[in-house]
Amino acid sequence: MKNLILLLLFFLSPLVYSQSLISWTEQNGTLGLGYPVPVPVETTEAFDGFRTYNGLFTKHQSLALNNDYITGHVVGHTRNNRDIWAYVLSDGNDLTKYGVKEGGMMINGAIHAREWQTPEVLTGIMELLSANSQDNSLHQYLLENTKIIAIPVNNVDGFLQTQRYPKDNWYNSLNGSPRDGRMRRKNMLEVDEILSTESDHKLGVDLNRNNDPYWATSLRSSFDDESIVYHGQMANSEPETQARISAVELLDGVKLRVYTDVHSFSKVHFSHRTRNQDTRILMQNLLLDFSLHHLRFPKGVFYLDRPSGPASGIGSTDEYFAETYQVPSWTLEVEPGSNGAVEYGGFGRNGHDGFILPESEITRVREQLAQSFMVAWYGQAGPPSITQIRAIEKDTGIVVYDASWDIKSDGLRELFVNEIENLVPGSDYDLFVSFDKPMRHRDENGQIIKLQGQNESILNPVISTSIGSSVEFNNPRWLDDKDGGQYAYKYYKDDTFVTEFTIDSEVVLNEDARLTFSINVADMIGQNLDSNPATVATWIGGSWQGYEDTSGDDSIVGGVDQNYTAPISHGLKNEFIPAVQPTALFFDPSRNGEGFNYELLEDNLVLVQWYTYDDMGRQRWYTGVGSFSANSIVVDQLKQTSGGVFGLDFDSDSITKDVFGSLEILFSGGRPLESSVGFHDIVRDAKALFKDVNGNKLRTDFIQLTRVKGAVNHAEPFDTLLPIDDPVGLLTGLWFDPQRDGEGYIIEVLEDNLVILVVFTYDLEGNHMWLLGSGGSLTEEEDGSFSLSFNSVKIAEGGIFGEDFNPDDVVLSNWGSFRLQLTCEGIGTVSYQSSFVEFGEGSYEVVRLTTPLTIPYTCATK
Amino acid sequence: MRFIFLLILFFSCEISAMIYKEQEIVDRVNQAGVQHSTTEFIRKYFTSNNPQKFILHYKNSMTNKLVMEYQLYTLLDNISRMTIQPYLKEFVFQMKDYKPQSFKYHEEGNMQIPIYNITARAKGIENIWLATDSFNFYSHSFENNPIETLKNLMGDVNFMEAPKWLGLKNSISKMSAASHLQIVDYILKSPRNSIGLDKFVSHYALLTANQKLIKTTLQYLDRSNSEFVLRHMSTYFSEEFVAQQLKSAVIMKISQVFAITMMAPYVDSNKEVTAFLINNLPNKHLSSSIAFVLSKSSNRNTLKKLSGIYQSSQSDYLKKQIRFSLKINKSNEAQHFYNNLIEEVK
Repeated sequence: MKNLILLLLFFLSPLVYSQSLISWTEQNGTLGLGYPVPVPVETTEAFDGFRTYNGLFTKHQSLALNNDYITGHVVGHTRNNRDIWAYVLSDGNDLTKYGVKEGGMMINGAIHAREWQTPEVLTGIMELLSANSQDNSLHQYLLENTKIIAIPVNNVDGFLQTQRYPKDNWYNSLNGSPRDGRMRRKNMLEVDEILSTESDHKLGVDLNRNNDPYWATSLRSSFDDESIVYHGQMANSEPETQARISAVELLDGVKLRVYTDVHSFSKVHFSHRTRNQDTRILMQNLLLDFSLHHLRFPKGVFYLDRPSGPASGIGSTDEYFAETYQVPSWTLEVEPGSNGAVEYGGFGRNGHDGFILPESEITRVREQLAQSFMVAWYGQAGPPSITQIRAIEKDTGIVVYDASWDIKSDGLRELFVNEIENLVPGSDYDLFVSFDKPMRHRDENGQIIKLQGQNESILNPVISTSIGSSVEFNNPRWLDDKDGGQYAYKYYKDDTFVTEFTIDSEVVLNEDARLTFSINVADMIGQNLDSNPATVATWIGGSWQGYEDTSGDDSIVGGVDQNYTAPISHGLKNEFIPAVQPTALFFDPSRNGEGFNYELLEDNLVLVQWYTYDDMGRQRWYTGVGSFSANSIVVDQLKQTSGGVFGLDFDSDSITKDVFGSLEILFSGGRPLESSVGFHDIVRDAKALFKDVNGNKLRTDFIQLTRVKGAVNHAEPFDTLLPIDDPVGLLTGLWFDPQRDGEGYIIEVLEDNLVILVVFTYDLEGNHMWLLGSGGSLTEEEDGSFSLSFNSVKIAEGGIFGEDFNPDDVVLSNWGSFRLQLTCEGIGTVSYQSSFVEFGEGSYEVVRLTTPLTIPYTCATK
Repeated sequence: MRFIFLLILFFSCEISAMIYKEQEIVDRVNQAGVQHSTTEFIRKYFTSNNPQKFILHYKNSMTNKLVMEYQLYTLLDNISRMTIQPYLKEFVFQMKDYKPQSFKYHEEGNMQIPIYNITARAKGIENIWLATDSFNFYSHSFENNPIETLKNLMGDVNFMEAPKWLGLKNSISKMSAASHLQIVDYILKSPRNSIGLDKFVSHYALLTANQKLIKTTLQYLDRSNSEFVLRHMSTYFSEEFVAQQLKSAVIMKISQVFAITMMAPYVDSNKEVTAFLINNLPNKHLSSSIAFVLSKSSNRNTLKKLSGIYQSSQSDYLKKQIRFSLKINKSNEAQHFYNNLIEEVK
């Protein structure tokens, strides 16, 4: 036996060296893996294996085609002139839903060609975000509040070379090092694509040594173009490097906050330390959040951070991004660990086998790493801050206190406070606290649980007040229902917390007493509140700025927010309770020239129109259906209609509706009118808040302009009133031509039987047009129908949307006349004759679409 | 918790290790003297009357740890090509716990890694031997009692570990005709009984190129193994059979979109596949993967049909998928149709 072994040894002697093309094999051999050698499959779909470059690329393009949050961009070309693609995963704007600049995240894959895990992980990230882009939770939050740039395959030429020869490479028996083919690491500079060409198999540039600022400053890169770590002729010499650098431009003004270059293998984070101590601490926290989250998956894989020494490097990409942008930046070495394929039961015949992840592992690696990246990016999206505090009286649903942070043009926030009623000891209230991110994680059963890997056991905010134990809190909960009326979350599930509270009825209060709320809570990964939301917390110069602690000092840890103080008294401050005013036209006296109309309908629905302008002074109108309760009106989706045109060319099928924003109107307590008009004897002011889809806010005051006949506005309960036989009252409402769905006529018959008409339609070019007829006359015809005449219907123009509105810019001119012939039963005709020749004259058959809540009129006495 | 991990991080940094640069390593181990002593070391190990004692003495006497680890690694490399023997087993077992002393930096970052990963190599050798043991075990077991072996597999999750699985898989080719008959009969009689044996059944059906097994069991396999069958069928079966199975998979909703993409090789060669794809194109769930497959076509009729569907369709979504399919199809014909569509859109 021993002779045989000696004979064997002769042939296996380490002194016999050669360079040859050999293959990785499943069975035992020089490059025996112990599991099947993966061969890429031409498919777009994720499976237990690896996709071809074309399969991956087509998947990316398909995701971009079918998901509005994903766009693809060519950011450069490879040495062999192939496109290098980057994908932006974000909504179309650079602002968060809360009106502040988003943070940028960037991730790069397949810089080293043989590391097939990496484009799969990046594609997994894209697939995860796309599949959950409407989850109203973490993923949608990231898409709408950050800008993520993913380069799935940076080294396209090299990656294709490895896939061209998925089993084969050159092998040097002297050092056991496989090169080119499946084991190509570098780009394809001066390399043909034919593996059998031995002379070029070691050439190419290591793209992870080709970067500023530490290019060629270390012995861990080389001037030798055959070295595995050849750094190229100069920093950034390679087109792949330039493409990666230029991809940052896709952020388009958004500041980068984190960068990751995904590699394999070794199961570590190689983070780059700058000289900034804050960055180090924050990066350490970020990587720990990532790793602890990942550790808690069933397989229990932990990624250890191995930070670099400060201010030194090897020419890698993470150094470039860390030093250039002062952000957390690291090279992620995907599993296996440094033992390579042995971790999966492999044969360990060659130390490079870790680059060949078994097919059976890639689904787990792809899906779980994608999820852990969500956690890291959730953190870098920013520390949490309170957006709104609101107190609602439980019995009545009346909003009594509302405090909300508004972003201003100088980038600071201002606390808008609306003190509608005093907090009264002995009464029960709900306190709503809203945040600028989803704050909690739920399990598959919808139960709030701590985020995987986090230790935070306190799931609810700790709220204290300036009168200590005199306030009792009960029934705390996070909101995950959007259809819950007042108990709905704002933008994302669990961005709003609510708790009941009661103030001890015996509490002794000074005159002008106030109750201050202190709120202490951390987000899903333990980031504390920004204690002063006035200064927006954002990433600048390697750290969070404007992220104050409880004392109000700059910090990187945040603190307790105690900015909210509400009036408290044993007595009410309003003569009449706060309530929604009835159907009417409304306007802001400081913004004369634009206005709102709403109709209160059955089932607490409300139909709202807003007549205003665009940025260029052209007319715009928006409509929405919302709900009302107690003293609030909420329209979640105010819509902009388009596709219509004035006249006979109008086609309802061409009408499209896009969400323009949301609207909320809060009414104050009431005071008596100087003299009653019909059923109107109370007046209430209101404050309206419009939020566009980008989170920009516009606040406007809101006073009632018209008194609609039969609309009840006094303390007497509505249902105690008897029906009144007065068909005129039934003319009020929205009328439209069913053949022309997409335009309409608002009619309000007032208490003095004068009539208001608002026409919302389009001009001849398809632009919005709204017309206002006031003081219209109403005549009952012999057949029982009613004739409504408006001899001078006005058109307004020149106003500017938003804060730049100046009533002096608005110019009113005569558009023409309208005559409406309507019946109490809800049918009729609309005729017009315009002063403008191009509009001419015409008429349409119309029907009544809505009848607002008024006293119960009937047609009986016709 | 964070603190604990920081502590782990601190203590996990290697201390008192010798760190070498790549060139130092090459220069050192390539010295003629080292190469000669390595050959001698290996020769002595295999000829020693007491290999364990020899190794112990060797380790105690070697002062240059880099060379020592190179030689131990080389010895393990030799062992990895040999069959299992008790004295080798003991040595390999000891080497699994070897504490490396010679390190180099990881290529990408600040981490020291063993120059010669003796631990990994030793574990790998155990895996090689495990695969051999498994082969021997299953060859015997399948030959003597194939059904009982199958039933036992169902309760044994460990058989899916890579080395054991490799041994089992290798044993399939050694089975006798009688064993095959019994196994096929057992699976076909009650394919539901094979649930839990997905990995075995999928590989067995392919390796034995058994059409009936494929047809009968595909619907019962878990996703991973049904996709394994779908993507490997073409190696073992005719185009006609594969195309039929892929269509069946789509109809039975077995990894539908994946099955669609596996039809790509047949898009121009099999009219039934082409018709099937075009008929299912309006299915929103399938259309993007069908668009991908049809992008492989250079058949004028197919492309013309696509263009016709585009013209007559009212669905923006479907039109989008067709435009995409033609856009990524690099054939001249496809580009011609694509350009025409784009012109019309303009």
